[in-house]
Amino acid sequence: MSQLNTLISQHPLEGIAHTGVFGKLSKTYPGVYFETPPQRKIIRLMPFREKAHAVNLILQDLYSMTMPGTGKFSQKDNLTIGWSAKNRWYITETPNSDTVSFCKIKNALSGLAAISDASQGLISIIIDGDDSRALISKGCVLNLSHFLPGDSTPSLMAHTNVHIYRLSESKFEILVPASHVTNFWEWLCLSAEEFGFQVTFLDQKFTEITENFDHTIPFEKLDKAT
Amino acid sequence: MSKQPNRLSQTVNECRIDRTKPIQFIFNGKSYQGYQGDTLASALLANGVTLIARSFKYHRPRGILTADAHEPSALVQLGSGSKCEPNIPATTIELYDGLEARSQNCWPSLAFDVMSINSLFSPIFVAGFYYKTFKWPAKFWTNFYEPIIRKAAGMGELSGKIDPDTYEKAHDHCDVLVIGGGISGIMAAKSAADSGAQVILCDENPVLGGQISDGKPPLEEVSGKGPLVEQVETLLQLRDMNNVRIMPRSMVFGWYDNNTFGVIEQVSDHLPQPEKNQPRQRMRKIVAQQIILATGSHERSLVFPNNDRPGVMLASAVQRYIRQYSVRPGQKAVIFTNNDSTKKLVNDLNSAGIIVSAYVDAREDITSDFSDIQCSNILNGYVVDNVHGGKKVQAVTLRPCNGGPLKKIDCDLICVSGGWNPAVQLLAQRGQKPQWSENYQNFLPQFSTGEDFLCTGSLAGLESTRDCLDHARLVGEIAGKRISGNTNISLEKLTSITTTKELETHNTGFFEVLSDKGKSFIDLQNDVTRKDVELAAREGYRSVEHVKRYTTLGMATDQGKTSNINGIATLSRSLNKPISQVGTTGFRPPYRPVSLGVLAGRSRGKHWRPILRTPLHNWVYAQGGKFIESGLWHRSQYFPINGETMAQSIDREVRTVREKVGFCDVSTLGKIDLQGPDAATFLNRVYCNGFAKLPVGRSRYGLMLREDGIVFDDGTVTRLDDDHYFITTTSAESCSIVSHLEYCHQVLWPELDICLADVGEDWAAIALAGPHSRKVLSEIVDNLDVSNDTLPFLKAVTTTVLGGLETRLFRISFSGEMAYELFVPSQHGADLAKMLMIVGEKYGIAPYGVEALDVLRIEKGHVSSELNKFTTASDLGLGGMMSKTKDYIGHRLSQRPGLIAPDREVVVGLLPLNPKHSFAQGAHIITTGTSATAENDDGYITSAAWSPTLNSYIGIALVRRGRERIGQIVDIVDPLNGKKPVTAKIVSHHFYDLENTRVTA
Amino acid sequence: MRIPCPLCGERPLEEFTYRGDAKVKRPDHDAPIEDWVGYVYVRDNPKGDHQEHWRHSGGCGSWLTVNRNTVSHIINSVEEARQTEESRISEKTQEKKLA
Repeated sequence: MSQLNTLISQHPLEGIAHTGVFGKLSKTYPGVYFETPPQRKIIRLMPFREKAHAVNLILQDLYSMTMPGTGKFSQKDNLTIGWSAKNRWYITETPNSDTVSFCKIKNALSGLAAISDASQGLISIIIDGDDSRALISKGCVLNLSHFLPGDSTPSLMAHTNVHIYRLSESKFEILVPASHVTNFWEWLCLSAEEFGFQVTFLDQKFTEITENFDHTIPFEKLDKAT
Repeated sequence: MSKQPNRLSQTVNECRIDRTKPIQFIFNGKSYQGYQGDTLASALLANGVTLIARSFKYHRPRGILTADAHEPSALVQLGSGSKCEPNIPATTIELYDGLEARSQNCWPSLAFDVMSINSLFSPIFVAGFYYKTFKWPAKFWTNFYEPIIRKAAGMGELSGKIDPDTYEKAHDHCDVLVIGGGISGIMAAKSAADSGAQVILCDENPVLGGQISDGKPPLEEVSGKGPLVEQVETLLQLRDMNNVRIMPRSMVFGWYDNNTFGVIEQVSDHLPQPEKNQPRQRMRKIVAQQIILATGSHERSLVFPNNDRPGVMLASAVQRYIRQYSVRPGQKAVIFTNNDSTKKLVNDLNSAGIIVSAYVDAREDITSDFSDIQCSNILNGYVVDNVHGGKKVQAVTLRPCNGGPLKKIDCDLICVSGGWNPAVQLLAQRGQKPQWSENYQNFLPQFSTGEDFLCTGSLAGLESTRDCLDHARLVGEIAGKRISGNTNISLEKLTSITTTKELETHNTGFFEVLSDKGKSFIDLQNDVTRKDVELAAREGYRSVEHVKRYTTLGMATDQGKTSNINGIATLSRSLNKPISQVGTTGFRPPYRPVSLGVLAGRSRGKHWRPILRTPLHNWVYAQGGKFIESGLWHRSQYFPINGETMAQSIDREVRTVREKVGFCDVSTLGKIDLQGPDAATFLNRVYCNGFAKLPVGRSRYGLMLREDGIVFDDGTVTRLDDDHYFITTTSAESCSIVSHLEYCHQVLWPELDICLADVGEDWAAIALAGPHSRKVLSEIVDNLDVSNDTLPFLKAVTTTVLGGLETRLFRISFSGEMAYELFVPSQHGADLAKMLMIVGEKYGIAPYGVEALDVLRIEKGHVSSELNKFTTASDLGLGGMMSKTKDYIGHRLSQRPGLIAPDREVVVGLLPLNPKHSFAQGAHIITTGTSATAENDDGYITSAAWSPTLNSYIGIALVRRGRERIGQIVDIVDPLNGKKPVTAKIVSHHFYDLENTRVTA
Repeated sequence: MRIPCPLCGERPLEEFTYRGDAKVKRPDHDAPIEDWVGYVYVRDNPKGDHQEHWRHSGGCGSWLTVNRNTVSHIINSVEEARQTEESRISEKTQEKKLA
C-alpha cells in the first residue's frame, strides 16, 4: 500500500498563519518577528524518586548535558534541556537533526525516569524584534526584568498555559498547546498589529494555503503592512 | 459675528492650544471653531457658549464649573450612531475635527426644557422622596410610578449598538510608580530615576506639569529662573531617561493587593477614529515595589443660593482657562472666596481684560495682606446672598456677615473657591481613614508614608511650590534607596518639611451661606441641596455613610469630588458635631468611571473565551462536518451528506455503525500518563474498583469517586507496561481529574513514587466501531494479528499503522459494537482519518459525530450524562464495581445511609408506549394518573434520543426505586416546555445487545 | 493578589486556583465516620491567618500550602504542599518515637 507510506503531519497553524509583513509599521521595519519552526522533538522527562542523579549521569554520557536547575534551560549544539515544573524537564531538539531518539532515551532511562513524547502536543512560536517585550507583556503576566536570557518557565499568556524560554534580550520561544494554538495565534497577531509584524515559516512543508480552509469561525485575514 | 469672541490673543502660558490648527466642531447642531488642544469646554467658552446642560433632577440650566475631569455639570452626549456615548464631561473631551456633541436630559431643547417644570415640584423631590411617596397603592409602584420615574430621571442614552472600537490589556512592572505628573510627581520621578530605579510616571492629562501648565504661580516666576522653570527642564530630562516610562492620558483607577494598580490609558479617545491597528483604550495592570502618590489636590466650591447657575466657576478653573487656553470665561467677574489662593486670580482677570467688579472674602478676621491685589472693590467679611439670572449669571447680591445693607453687583462670572481637597481616594481604597485638619480645613491622608508608599506634594498637605519640590525630591531619593535594599531610612527630613511648611491658603473654615433664598447646591450632579442634608439630619441620619446614601450626595459619576466636604460641613453643623468626628465616606475603585469595553479587552465576540480545536478540526471542516460547542471545545457534531437534515444524518451515522463501520474523533478525551513503581497502588487508591492486578496489555473501565462518595468520573485505565499506565477521562472532566490526581500525588500520598503527566495534547484519538471494524483495522495495521483470539475485548497493544505510525490500540467500546480506540501522535490524526476513509470505503465506512455517539451509547445503556454530581455508583447501576475492602477516595462516605437508601433515584430505561412520542432531557417522571407536582415527582430523564436501531424514542432516567419498578407504566411530564405527558414503560437501560455479544465478537 | 510560588517566583492571582483549608488531614481508613464527615464538610472560618491549599495551575502545577491573613490578605508564607506533608509525616514519626 504505497499510498499509506506518505504520511503528512498536519501542523495546527497550517492555513491559519500566513507569511508576510502585517500591521502598522511605525519604523521602516516591523517591530516584531514571528517564526513558526517545523515540529521538533520534545521529550518530557520526569525522574523517579531519588533517581535524578542517575539520570544526569546517563544524560551526561549520551549528550554531554545534565538537567539544569529550577527556572533555567541549557543549550548545546542541537539540544536544549529546559526546566518545566517540579521534577520535570523538556528535552528539545532542533528540527532536521537526529541526536535524540525517543526509543534510545527511553531504553537508557528505563526504571530511572518517566519519559513521554510531547513533540506533537506543543507548538513552538518564536518571537523576536524591538517590540517583542511590549507585545508579550500585553498577554503575559511575567515580570520580564526578572525573566532573563537562559530562563525557562511555565506561565499564562492570553489565557493559555504556555511554556516560555528566553533566548536573548529580545528573543523568546513560546510552546503552546496544540488545541489552543489557533486561538493564541489570533490574539498574537491582533496584538502585534500596532507594532507591525513579520511572519516566517521555517519549514518547506508549510505552504501558504491560498484556497482558504475557511474555518467555521473565520479569522479575518490580516491586511498586509501599511 | 466674530469667531471665538472670547478667545484672547496669545498668552505666555498658553501651552494647551495650537493656533495653527483650527478645528470645526458641532454642539447642539450648531457649528463652531476651536483649536487643537482645546477641550470641548474651553472651545465652547471661547465661543461664548455658557449654557451646556440641564441638571439631573430639577432640569436646571447648567454651565461649566471646572477645567478638569471632576466636572459635575457640563455632561454631554458625544458622537452618533454606534460611537454615541452619554455622560461625558465636556472638560475631558479633547477637540477633534468633526466632533459632534449635544446636551442631554433636555427636551425639546436645551434652552427650553419641558422637564424643568420639575423645579416647581421641588419641595416634594427632596432627598429620600422615593421612600416616602409613591407607596400607595403598592402594586402601582411596578406598573405605574416606577416606569414614569425611570423615564423622567437619568441622563444620557446608550446607542444600543455594538461598540466598534477595540480595547486591550497589558501588564507592566516597575520599581517605582509615581501617580500624578504635576510638579511634585515630576520631581519625585526624576529623583527616583536618578538612583537607577525603573520608574513609571502616570498622569490622567494629555499634558504633564500640573501646576506649571495650570499656571498657578505668578507669571513672573515662569519667565525668569524660578523653581517652575526648573520643573520644565526636569520634565524634558525625564523624557530621555531609559529607565523612565511616562504615561500621559493614563488614569490610575484602583490600588489593589500587593501593589497592583489598574490604569486606564486613553490611547485614541482624543482622535475621531482610533488609528488602524490601535486600540481605543488599554487597561494596564501595573505592579510596583514602591509607590509615590503625588495626586495633588482639587478645589471645592462654596454653598450659596443658586450657586449652580451657568457662569459660576471654580476660581482655579477660570485661571486655567485664561492662562492655558487663552479663553475669557466672562466679561465682568466677582470673586467669592474663603482663602488666599484666589489672590493671584485677580491679576489673571485683569490681564484677560475681565473687569473685577468685586473681591468677596467671607473671612471676617483675616491677617492676609490685600495690598497686592489690583481690585478697587475688596469686601472682607461679605458673602453671596443670592445669584441672579436663570440661564446665565447676571448679578449677585452680597451681604455683610455682621449685618448691614445688601449690595447688588452686575456680573456674568463668579469665581468661587471654597478651599482645596487633597486627592486621598487611592489611599482610602487601601483602608485609610482620611483625617480632618483644622489648619487646612480639609482631609489629609491618615498615613502619608508606609513601608511601600510615600505621599508628596499637596496630597501630603504642602502648599508652597518650594516645599513641594524639596519634599518630592527627598521622597524620590527615599524610594530609590528602598529599591536598592536600604531598609532603614530615616524620614526625619521629610517630617521636618511637613512640620515647618509654609501655609499659603489660610482657610478658616467657611463653607455655606445660610439663606432661604433659591436653592443652595452641594452636589451639582445629583442635584443635592443644603436643605437635603439638613433634612437627613432632622430625620435621624447620623453616619456620613448613611447620609450619603439617603441624599445621594457624592454618588454621581464625579463621586462628589467638588462637593463631599461641603456636605460633611453641613452635616457637621446640623448634628452639632465637629467635622473631625463626622469624618468622610470611604472610597472604592474606580477613582473615575471606567468603560466596560476596556475591562473586557480582547475577550469579546469570538474571543470571549479560548476555542479549543482537536487535531482533526480542519479535516472535519473539509468533510462538511458541523461543529458543536462542548465546553471550550469545538467537536464534530454530525456529518451531513447530500443535503441531509441533522436528524437524517444522525440516523444514517448510527445505522452505519450498527451495520457496517464508522469512526469518531474522540481526541477531546483527557489522557494522563502514569509511570512509576507505585503506580498500581496509586490507581487502587483513586479508583473505586481494583487495579492492583490489571495485567500488562489490558484496559479496564475505571470509576472514580469524590471523597464525599459521589461519582466523579468514569474512564479507562490501560496497562502498557509493568510500571506504565495510560488513563483516559471524559472530555469535560479532564482538567479537574488532572488537578485531583496531582493533589493526591503531591498532598495526600507524597510518599508514593510515581510520575504523572497530562498528555492530552500529544495524542489524537479515533474510535473505530462497527461489525466491519476489524476488517478495516486489519488493512491499516503494519504487522499485527487483529483476530478475536489475539486482540479480544479489553486487550491493549502498542503497535504501528500506515507504514510506521506509532499507535496505541485498545479494544474498548462505548457504542456497543465491536470497536477499537486508536491513539496516534496528534499531528497525524488527520492522516489516520483520511486513510480510514480510503481503506474503509469498500466496507461503507462513514465518520460520525457526537450526536450519533450519544445515540449509540444511550442504546447500549452506557451512563454518561447520568454522572451529574448527584449520583452514586449504585445509583448508576455500577455498585458492584466498588471494592469492599481497600481504602479508596470516597469509600467511607459513600456508605452513608442517605447514599445507600433504597428509595433513591436509580438509573433505568424508558420506552414510550407510542414509539413516536418524544421527550426531552430534564422531563420528570410521575405515576400515571397523578398530577405533576413536586410531591409526586419520581425522577427525571437524564438522556433521550430517537433510536433508529429500535425505531423508537428511548431514554435513560433516574427514577425513585427504579429497579423495583421495571415493567411499570409511568408518565413523562415536561410542564416547563408545555408538552403533553408521554406514557412510557420502565425498562432496563440496556436497550441493545444485553449479552454483549457484539462487543466481544 | 500575588503569590510567591517557591519554584516560579511571585505570580499574580490569575495563575492560581484555590482549593481550601490545608489544615484538615485525610483520616485513617478505619477512623470513625465523624472524622470523615469533619474532613469533607466541616471547616473553621478564621478571621486572621489561614493555612490553605492553592495550585499553581497557570504555571508549574505545584500544589502549595499558603499561609494567608484573611483580613489583610498579607501572605505570610508559601511552601510546596508536599514539603508541608513530608514535614508533618516526619514530625508524627518523631512524636511516635518519643512516646
